[in-house]
Amino acid sequence: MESKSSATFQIRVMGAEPVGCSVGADVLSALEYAGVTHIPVGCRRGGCGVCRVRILNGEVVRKKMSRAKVSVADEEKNYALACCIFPRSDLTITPAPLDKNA
Amino acid sequence: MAVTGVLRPGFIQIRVMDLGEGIVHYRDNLGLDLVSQDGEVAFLKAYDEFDRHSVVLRQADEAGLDVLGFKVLTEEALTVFAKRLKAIGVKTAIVPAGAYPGVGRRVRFSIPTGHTIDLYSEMELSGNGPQTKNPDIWRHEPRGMRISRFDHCAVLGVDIAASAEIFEKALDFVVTERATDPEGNAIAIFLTCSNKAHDIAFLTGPADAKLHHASFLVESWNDVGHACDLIAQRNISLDIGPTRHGITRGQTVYFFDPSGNRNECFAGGYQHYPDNPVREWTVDQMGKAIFYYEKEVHDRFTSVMT
Repeated sequence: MESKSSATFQIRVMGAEPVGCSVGADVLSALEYAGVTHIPVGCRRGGCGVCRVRILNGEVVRKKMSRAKVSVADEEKNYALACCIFPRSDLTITPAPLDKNA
Repeated sequence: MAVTGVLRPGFIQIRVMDLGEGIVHYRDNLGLDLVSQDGEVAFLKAYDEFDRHSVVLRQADEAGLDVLGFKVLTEEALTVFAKRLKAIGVKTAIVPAGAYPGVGRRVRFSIPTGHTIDLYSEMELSGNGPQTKNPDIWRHEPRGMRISRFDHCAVLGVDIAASAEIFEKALDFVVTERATDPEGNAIAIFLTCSNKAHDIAFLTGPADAKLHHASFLVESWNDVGHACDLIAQRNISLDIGPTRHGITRGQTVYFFDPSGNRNECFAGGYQHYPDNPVREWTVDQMGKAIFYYEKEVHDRFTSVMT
């Protein structure tokens, strides 16, 4: 991302130990690297939607993700794909899987 | 059966969320040539393909499969296939010649699993295809994963038996392999229109119109390994592999494009003849069927799709 800071923020997934995530890393990568398995790892590129989460607390920068998985209305309610968000503060997130038929 | 009707999967049209990133991946990682770009659509081809293009990338706000195109030998055969589709109750429409550059009229139809299929017989030859007079093995040294051609596609949907039946009854495809659950329902159907172990695969999925993967042919196991080297060195999102399939016996690695569409680099596989019996698989052996070495079904492989 544009920030040159090497800042690291803490990512809290409900029920798991917090995981450090640098500003340049996406949240899913940080969780996958740390072995936190509360959020499934799929394509890691914003297409499949299995890592869908709701951001309960904190600021992120988003990159483009599938509108079939996170609509504009979803985005306004802080839903996102974990592989497409970059922390700008400490975060608390929770898994928010879509219905399998979506 | 000599291959005289439907010849092969001729093109795939894939939705990407960033056309620039998509072009970089398919051109530089897979090693396809960018043929042309028109606004939000880009056309690419592999070095060993004669036709103008085999991959169409369309910028969209979601990933997935737009259209799968099959090339038919002649215009006469195309007309016959359109009639045969109508005769079994499949509605067809015509995409006029020239709707895409260098492509003749297309007979378009939808199948029960929600996928859009095009049949066409005319596509301009590429000026950059294989040489035909005292040919070298290639014009230019292949780049990236050294893909020689678009090979096949696996798609997911609910009623795969109904979709497969259309390919068998109207288009003369033959089932090469099938996996069946204890109640006798097909959960995976592999069909060929040629000597290949598969030209299309239908997999049972929770929703219709889904893409499981677009597969690209490489020459050898060594080339699958080379693809893996690039996946590691370039931080391409790996799914699983290198490994081998029990079904088709293909050597393989799976990974994702920058929009999350699954790609495969595929080598080998047996040769099919239309008198060969169907190879049958049971659910308890799906590990061996899908990943012959690991003998375990990988959760991401079965649940992740675009």
